[in-house]
Amino acid sequence: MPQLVPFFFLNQMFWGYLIILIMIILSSKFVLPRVLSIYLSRMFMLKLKK
Amino acid sequence: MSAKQVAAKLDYGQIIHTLGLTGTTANSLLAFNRRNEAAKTKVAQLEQQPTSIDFSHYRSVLKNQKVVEEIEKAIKSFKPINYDVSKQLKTIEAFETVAVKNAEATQSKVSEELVALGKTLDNIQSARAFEELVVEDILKAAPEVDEKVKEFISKSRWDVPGYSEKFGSTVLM
Repeated sequence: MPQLVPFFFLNQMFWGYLIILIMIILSSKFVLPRVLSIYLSRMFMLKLKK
Repeated sequence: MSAKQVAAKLDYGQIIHTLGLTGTTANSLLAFNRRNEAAKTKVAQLEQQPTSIDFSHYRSVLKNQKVVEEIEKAIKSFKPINYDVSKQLKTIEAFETVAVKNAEATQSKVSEELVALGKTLDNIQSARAFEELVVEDILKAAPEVDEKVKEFISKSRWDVPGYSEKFGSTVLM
């Protein structure tokens, strides 16, 4: 697909924004909370070890 | 079997040993046994003594017949008084019910503690090694961590202060 042909700009923008939106939702709902809980658990265990 | 026979067969040393009694309970039980033994010997001694008095013998021996007659009269007119011990018995019964209640309460408490201790023992025996712990185990054991996670998310904070100093930075760019 020729990305620089103006005819396909709208199509690319649509899929690009859609993918970004899906990634943001997935990150904020699943990935980042999981990472955060790992960080906080590690800090918690560090305090327990002391 | 009558109560007397049962009481005679009681071996207090065995009871203390079987129930594992210590301290004041064992001491008071032994003191009670001693009092019981003393009372028993006294009763046996008193039972052996003669209960009838030979007044003719005293009349022949003593000059003062009047005194002997007076004593004989007093003894013949003597009637044992029956004390009403129902009140004391009631008090004892009330004490017994309270004691039994206390004992039951103690027993239930001890059994509850035993259950809790058994659980703790199970926990200790089935505990995983520190290295095998996963995040889910920690979140389950310490719900405060999970609450902290939720608090961080609600504030849109994704980094933990002090983490990178301890474990190194995970930022790629």
